[in-house]
Amino acid sequence: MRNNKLIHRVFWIILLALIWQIIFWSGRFSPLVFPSLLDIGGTLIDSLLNGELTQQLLFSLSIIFQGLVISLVLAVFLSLAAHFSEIAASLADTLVAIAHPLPGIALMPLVLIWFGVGRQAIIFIIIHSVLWPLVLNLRTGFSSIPEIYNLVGKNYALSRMQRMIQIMAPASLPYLLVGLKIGWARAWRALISAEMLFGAVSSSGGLGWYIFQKRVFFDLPGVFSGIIVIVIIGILVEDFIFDKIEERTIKKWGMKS
Amino acid sequence: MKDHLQIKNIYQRYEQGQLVLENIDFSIVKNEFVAILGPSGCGKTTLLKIVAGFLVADQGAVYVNGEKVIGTNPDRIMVFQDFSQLFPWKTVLDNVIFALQAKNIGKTFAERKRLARYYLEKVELSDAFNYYPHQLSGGMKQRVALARTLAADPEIMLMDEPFGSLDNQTRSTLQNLLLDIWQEARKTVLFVTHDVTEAVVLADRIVVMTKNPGRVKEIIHNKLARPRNRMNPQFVRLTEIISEY
Amino acid sequence: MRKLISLLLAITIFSGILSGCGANRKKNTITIADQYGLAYAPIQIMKDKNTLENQTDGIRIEWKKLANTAAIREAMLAGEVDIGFMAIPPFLIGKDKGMPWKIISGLSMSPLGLMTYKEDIQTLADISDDDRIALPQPGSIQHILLAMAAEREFGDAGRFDDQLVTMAHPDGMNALLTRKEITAHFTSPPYVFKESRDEGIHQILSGQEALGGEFSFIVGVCTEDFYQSHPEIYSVFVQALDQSIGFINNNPDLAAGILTGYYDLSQEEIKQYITWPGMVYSDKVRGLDEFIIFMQRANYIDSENMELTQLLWEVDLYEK
Repeated sequence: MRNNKLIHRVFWIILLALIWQIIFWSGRFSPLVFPSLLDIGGTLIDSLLNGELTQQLLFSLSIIFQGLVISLVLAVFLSLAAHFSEIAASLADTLVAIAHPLPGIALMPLVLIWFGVGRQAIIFIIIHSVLWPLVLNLRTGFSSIPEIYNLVGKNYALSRMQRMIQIMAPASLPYLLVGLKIGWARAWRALISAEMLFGAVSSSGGLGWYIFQKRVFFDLPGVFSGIIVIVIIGILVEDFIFDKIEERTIKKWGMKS
Repeated sequence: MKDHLQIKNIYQRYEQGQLVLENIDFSIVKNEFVAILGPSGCGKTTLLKIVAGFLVADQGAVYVNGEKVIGTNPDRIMVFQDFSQLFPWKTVLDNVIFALQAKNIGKTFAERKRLARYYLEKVELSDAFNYYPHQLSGGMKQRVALARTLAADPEIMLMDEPFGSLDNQTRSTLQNLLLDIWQEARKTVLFVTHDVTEAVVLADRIVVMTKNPGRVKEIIHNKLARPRNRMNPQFVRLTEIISEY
Repeated sequence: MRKLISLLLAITIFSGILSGCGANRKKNTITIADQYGLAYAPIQIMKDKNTLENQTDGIRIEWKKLANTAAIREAMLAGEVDIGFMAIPPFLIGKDKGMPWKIISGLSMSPLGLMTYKEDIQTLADISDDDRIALPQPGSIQHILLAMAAEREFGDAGRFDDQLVTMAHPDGMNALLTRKEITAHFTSPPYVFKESRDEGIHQILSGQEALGGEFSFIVGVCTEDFYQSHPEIYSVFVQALDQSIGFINNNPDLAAGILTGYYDLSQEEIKQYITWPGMVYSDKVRGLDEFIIFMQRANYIDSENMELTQLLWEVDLYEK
């Protein structure tokens, strides 16, 4: 089943690449518009090997990881508070209602004024992208925990802390994972856009900056190699990391429908 | 014999004010098996939740060994009808170990593991240690719940129609299993059911309740010798008498 | 197999459709793109006086203002823009990558300046590693000039590359005036004039110092496609541009009056700016050699093939 999916995917990618190359060979388009796959591949390998792209990739990944961790901690605290206190719940709901529909990019001008260009600004945008879907999903997750788990927990004299760790955390994991997936997808897009817009300090501006730089130097194969890396990371995270986590947890536990 | 569990003048109302339980008052001696029998809506589950400490009665109180019950206590463990009472993220073995950890039974993890295996063998589940609950049938899940309860070694077992959702054959198998365990482990059991046969098979005494409001109509001593044969004429007669109420 | 064949067929048709877009053909609309800044003043005059429209019957002229050079370059590549205005380095980078275009004419020379508010920064050597320099984008004329100066003084063209912050001119000016985020800003008129009016802000480096001579700041560029398929519009455009440049130089008062419609500045200010020493409107193309030699040496461009005939449609506009 899984292998099948992989084979299909590889098949389509090869086919699309082939079409691309045929169009290139047809010579109908200037290579400035439609570069050869060989050029793109060469640029990709070169800039991965000479560290130019690798460094930007690591920068982007480290920044998104920081953003995710901070958001996760904030979201857990906010959702727990909302779960146990009605005041916190109405605050959390209001915050989510205001902030969730707001695209991170729309906040960019404000963020520039508050944080300037650079790391903090991008982390802020990432947190904004991740936090609200996480809170939303955790809130749903907490409130859809079957009451019986709590009764069992109380019956066996677990403290509130123990119930949170031993029952609420695993019981809401499916929702947490959904929230993280949405959050990751939003954060990854926001990150690249922010990096392209900010044009942060050029030695470490991330993947978005790499693409922007290639663009201003009119290096289309370079632009494509940046895009390919973005796609590969996206697929790796969504298809492999999240799938693996699900396989080892909620799928194994029969908690994913 | 001294009363182990006393239920004294319990009154309970719904939020809308309707009376659910009216003056429930009876006692259970140590190691006695008592069934509460009644139609759905007679408040028997509510009564059990009050005894467990999940609910506080509007009036009256529950006493264990003469002490008033306040809140839950792992000496009174409830077994639910709901198959989902097991934690789906824990294996069968870990679900039982959970009870041992909660009651701090066993010093090392290895010892707990050994104990958990022992209780699972008691409920005849030695093949299923490493399964997750979603891989089990309903009957197997209730066996695990029973093993988990036994592992916690409570003084009183509160059973809320634990076999109510099972098919007939599985139900009687589990009834027999429960009786074996009860006779060996000697626990006080308060068992809620709406099934007359089940009450007659299991209980020393049967508390018959009626609904609107929930009241104790009769308390019947079941003197039939164990093991009880469901085909026995005396058994059948007792069942018929109780069904009259 | 049948599926595969139909797929290939679809691809062929699809690429046929796509190729239709890029074909060489006569157009009814000519699009001219420039950017914001006083260096582009002759374009605004030409537009305002309808000089071009009056001489090209049946052809619609569309004027576009794009945010940066990269956008103009991409639009020209896509055939969306026929004539674009930009600085020499972005033109050379495009040429180097195979962009089929040449310079039509010079437009203006202009004072450019690297401005800072920090008292203790008087020369490039005073800029520390923590200081950040705002400029429009890597590969822009400001970036190349800074690299030229860095190479001359420190032997390292990339010395400041890790300290650059990409900001559009207005954002950079705001950041500099509020003394936030950046310590220096490499910019052009009117921003360079506005910044120099702020008490604490001074210039560390001028464009001329960086290059070591005079150079055209903005040039007009068109693609081979346009040059060959619309020769009559091309020559009308060159004439119109010439008239506009002449108009500004001969009637700065009138020109300033017209330009008030395009800039948020008073007529007096505009007049002051367009007659500022070093602000010269001219169709001559200067500084080409210096840029080419430096950009080849510093690896911004690879191509050795940068002969004048490859770079200009009319070689006689070139001035050493």
